[in-house]
Amino acid sequence: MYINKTFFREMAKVLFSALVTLFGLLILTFFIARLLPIDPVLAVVGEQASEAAYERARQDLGLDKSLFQQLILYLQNIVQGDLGQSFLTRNDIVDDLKRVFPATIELATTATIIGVLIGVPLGTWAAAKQDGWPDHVARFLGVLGHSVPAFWLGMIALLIFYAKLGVVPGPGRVDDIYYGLVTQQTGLILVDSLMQGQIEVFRNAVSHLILPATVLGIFSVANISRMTRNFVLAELRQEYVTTARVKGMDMRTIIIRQVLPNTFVSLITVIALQLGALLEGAVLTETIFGWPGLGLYMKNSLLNADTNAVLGGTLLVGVTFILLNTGADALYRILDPRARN
Amino acid sequence: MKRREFLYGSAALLGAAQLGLTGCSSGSNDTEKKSKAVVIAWKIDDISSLDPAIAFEKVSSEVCRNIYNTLVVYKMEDTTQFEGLAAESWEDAGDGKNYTFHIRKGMTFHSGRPVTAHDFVYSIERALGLGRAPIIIPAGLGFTKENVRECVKAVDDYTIGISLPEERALTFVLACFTTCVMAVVDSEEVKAHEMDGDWGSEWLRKNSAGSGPFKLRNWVANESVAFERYDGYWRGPAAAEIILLRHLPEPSTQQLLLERGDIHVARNLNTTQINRFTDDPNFDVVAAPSFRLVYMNLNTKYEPFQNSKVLKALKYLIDYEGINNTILKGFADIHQTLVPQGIWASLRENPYTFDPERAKTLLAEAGYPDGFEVALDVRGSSPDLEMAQTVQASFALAGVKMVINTADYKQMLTKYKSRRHQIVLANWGADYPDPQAMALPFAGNPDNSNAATLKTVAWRASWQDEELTARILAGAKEVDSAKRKALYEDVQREQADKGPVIQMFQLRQVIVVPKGFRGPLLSPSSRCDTYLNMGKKV
Repeated sequence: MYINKTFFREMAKVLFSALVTLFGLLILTFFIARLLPIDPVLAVVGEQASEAAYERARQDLGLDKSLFQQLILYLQNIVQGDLGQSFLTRNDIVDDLKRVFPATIELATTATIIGVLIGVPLGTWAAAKQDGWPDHVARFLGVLGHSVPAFWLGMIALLIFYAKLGVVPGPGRVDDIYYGLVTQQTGLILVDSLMQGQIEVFRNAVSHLILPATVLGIFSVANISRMTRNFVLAELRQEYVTTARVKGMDMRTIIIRQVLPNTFVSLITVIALQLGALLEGAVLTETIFGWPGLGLYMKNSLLNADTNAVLGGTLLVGVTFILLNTGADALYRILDPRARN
Repeated sequence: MKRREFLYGSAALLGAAQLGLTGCSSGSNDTEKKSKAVVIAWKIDDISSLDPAIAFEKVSSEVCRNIYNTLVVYKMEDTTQFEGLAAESWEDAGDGKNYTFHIRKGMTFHSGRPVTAHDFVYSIERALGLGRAPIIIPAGLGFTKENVRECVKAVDDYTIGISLPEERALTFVLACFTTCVMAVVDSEEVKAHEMDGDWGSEWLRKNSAGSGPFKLRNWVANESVAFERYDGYWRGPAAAEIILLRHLPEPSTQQLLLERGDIHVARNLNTTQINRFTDDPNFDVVAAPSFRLVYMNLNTKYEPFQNSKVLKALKYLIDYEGINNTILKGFADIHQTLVPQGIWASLRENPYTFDPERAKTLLAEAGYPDGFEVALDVRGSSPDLEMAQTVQASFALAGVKMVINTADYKQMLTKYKSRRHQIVLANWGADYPDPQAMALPFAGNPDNSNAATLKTVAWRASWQDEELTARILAGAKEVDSAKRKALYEDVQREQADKGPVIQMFQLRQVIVVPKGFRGPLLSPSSRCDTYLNMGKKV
């Protein structure tokens, strides 16, 4: 209903600037990755290879060409949807990303859902009872989420819930015995196992997901509750709230009926960015929980100077971020009449 | 597309919440399945291919050695002796050039085809044709892509005739034939998967065509390697039905999984964790030597290192005992000569002790009474960094002010391989169990120019001793084993005396398994079938 010509024109502008951003991102990443003082050939042939073998691998990887030629070649391939092959494993980057990104999506989405389900009510409550004990709880969580390192929290959570209590399974996406039982369709093991009727695998995957998602979720809760609190507080100072109170509406109804819907617009942006940040890679959480996602993949590729893999991953993160941003922007325009003009 | 995936993902999760989470698996059925699989936690992110003619790094070659058979292996109980694996016996014509191997009859590939001499000939030809990192080994025998058809021939289905272009000692030849680049692949299977003259390497990267106790089920980079038992193995089927190597880079995660019984072998634990397990009655700590030395490379391009007295002084300025007892605790032995224990011709003498007074005198004689400044490159992880810090402290006792530069290992290596360092602390392992595998890199340097085709550890130190190099190159050809041994002993003493590469420790491999569980055989370098009896009831 609000989607009209102006809307499409605006969105086209946004998309164009997104493409420019992506192009800049690619060029920058390409040069950073190439200028790293790490020799990618070493990662492939190892330290003890002879010069002839080294030279051969260098040619195989196309690293004997000039930097500029390499860049042009790379861009040509990208236009055709080919992200090239990993220097180290010779896997197609597209295949690699299809494998690792769903793992991260599964983890990040769950964490964000936890963040929203807990963070929004908590933030609202904290704002309603400003300086009361719910506010203190929210602030404490906020500080915790900002100051506790993810690897520490992950390790402690594993120690307590896995090692001591044994209520959740250990690191990994599924138990080893279920490994390879589900063929990859979407790459989301929860979805694939359900589609293939592997209920046992599904349950196992869920139990594996809970702990890392909660750990990541805590950081989400910290951020989302803090922002919600601020948004609600700002709304509470508005005149319409005073008016409503004067008319005799009780506080709970005002917050639920009037205030919260007004904060949704800003909250969507926060949540989208939060999801984006988690998708970009929770490297430390993925390392601790042996979670084969994008974060771990990118880290390993960087350490091996695997330029193609790093570029492919960066491009994916960039696209995801821009999509989420554009999506939030579109929603924003739909939800808020003021933004339409 | 992605949005839809999000939606699916969230819908599935909500569904999950409703289904109720009945804990974490483990029905009786699961336990049964679990008992057949052996799970090894290991850092396995350096695999680039599982083709035996390409695999050259620690993990990938261990994987290949359990899928493919070599002609010979060294004996587990005495690594200086050899025994046949695919070869039942061998003959030495006595001229240092002609050798004959007789292949065991009744061996089969995973495809069911019999293993023949033709497959071996093809495999060696293939390795040379591919020319990847491990080619250094057949090249050491004088084989090239061009001459290999003349050098390696199938006399009949079960006999291989080797005629080398130059003399090589039998012990050297046998050592080369223990490595996985010389292992046999199923020639028909590989040929069937050849593409554009790639010798089937694209296919063999993630598939297997061997005759060993296991087949490769799959390899997912940075995640896992899964093996499946080959029931037709000629030495009898392996104990474990399935083996899974899981990439778990974090030692503390490995420890937790081991304690909970979710993995059987932990291979990347640190000294503190190992000490904890040593006192735990529920676990066994298993240690074995490796053919890997910790050393420092002093670049003689840096002026002070051109003075032999400075080199000697620094050798007296390392607290070998202290580092070994406090940092390497149980992970290493002091070893100051270039051939590790366990390879024949290794010396049992360590010429240097920690003696700061003597070092000061030597430095004063060399014209550096107040020491000098120097930078050391080291990887920023344990235990290398701690070793570097200890060396920094002890160097300071004689006024040598050392700055430590830490970097990721590959970053450090890049700088080191282009000789831009002053000192590097690193380690190096023998590619095959022969003194030549260490003598050539550590003391040999035929061409010190930047365009050299052989860039040894000595080359990286910009150190060239032509006479010593000539003797080492002659060492591989010496047919008289007593003379050969004496030659390497002299080389070791001379290198330890004047070389700019300082050998310090020989590393051990340490793993932890549940009490009574039989883990993989820890072989110091290439040896086949190390998983054969893993998991077998003791």
